[in-house]
Amino acid sequence: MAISYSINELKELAERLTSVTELPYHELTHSFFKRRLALLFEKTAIRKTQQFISLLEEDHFIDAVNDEFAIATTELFRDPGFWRKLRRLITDSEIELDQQSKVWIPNVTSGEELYSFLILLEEAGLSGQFEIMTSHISKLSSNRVQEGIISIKKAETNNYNYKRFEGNSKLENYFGKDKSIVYLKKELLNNVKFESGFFPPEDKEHKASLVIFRNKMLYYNKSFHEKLVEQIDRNTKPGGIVCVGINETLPKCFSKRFECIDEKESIYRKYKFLTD
Amino acid sequence: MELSFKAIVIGGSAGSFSVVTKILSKLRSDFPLPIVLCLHRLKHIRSGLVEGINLKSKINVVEPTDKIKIRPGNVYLAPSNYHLFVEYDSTFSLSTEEPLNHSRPAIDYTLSSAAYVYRNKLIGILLTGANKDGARGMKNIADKKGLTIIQDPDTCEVDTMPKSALRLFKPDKVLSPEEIVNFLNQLTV
Repeated sequence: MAISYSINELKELAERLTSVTELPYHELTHSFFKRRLALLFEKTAIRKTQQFISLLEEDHFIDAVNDEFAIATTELFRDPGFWRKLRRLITDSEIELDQQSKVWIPNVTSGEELYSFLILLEEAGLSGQFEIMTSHISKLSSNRVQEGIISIKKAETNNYNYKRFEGNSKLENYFGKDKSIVYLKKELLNNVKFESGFFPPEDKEHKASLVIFRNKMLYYNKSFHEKLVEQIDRNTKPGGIVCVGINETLPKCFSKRFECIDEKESIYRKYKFLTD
Repeated sequence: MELSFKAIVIGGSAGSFSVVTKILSKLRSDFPLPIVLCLHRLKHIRSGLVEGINLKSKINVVEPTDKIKIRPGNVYLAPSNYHLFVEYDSTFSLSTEEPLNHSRPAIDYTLSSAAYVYRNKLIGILLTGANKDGARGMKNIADKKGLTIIQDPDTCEVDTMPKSALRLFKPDKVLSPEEIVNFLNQLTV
């Protein structure tokens, strides 16, 4: 459905959503906001802005809006080269992980990045050894991920990616099936904490050793990237690893705080000498 | 021909690699407009295509990273497994949203976003291809009064894509690859 609102009308709607949800809707790129709003209007048969605004008084509708704007990762082991590299960093102890270590995976939407990481840990014999903190902007997506649910439509792509990841098992061994629903085996999710919000809560005493934040900045204006990375910087311990999408980069102003250790896979390390 | 355009977007699928390299090898090196290429490509092959096109092109060809500025003198190739959008501030944004028309990058997305930003200052070109992706985007360019060129189906390796567009609207021009080159080389500042 074509949406014919002016730039100013879209800005006003974004501001309204920001104030209702306390999420940074006003920082979304114009094309993305317009596109997702059009999809939402189509799915919910909304025809007028006023109708949309009045629905924002209902919590379940707000959650449905947040869910629509939470972009699915769409594939397990998306960019297999990245996952191979991450596995190598972990197994070669390039990432300092011990039983007290924390892994941060903010703004988890459809679960594939989390599930891929959990399978990687299982195969490396490290399952259940770290605290993994995830955050979710909608209850709908959080519930799906907590149940380990995954789209059955992507089986072919997922299997192909897993093969290229060079996993040491079969992908199907990590999933169960209940009628038409495929889900990640519950025991793999044991050490995962699910928090609401864009980022998990801050803990100055216990910062993350590894942050997986791939393809999340894409949907936000460049000026907002600095704020997102500031938040990650604050919550990453010196020497910690930050992974962003292969076509994303950390803003230049962070070049004195992070070194890029793999340009192709967009993996960064926070300088060890920083004391924050 | 006096230049009244700000950008060119080109979409293509099956058979389009040879057409694109032919066009880029024959455009003059000081070509004054940015060219945005959205070609269907294998999602798991991240490198090779841009290098292959660069070998033939007289103009620098790059895969844009997220939010880079669009500048004349460059050809931008949509990266594999990402959608490519043009934003109002003349930057690109990428997306991992669901495939459209079984494609990521989807030509419809790139063309439509460019149409929305550049309106009548845009030239849209749709080449050979095996599905309907791009037809809707070309119509959006036409609706915004941009200039639309469709590769003559008789010169296409696979004519599904141009024929899908021709069923949706009447383009400004239906040209062979050679004629597309001649037309573009007439554009002057």
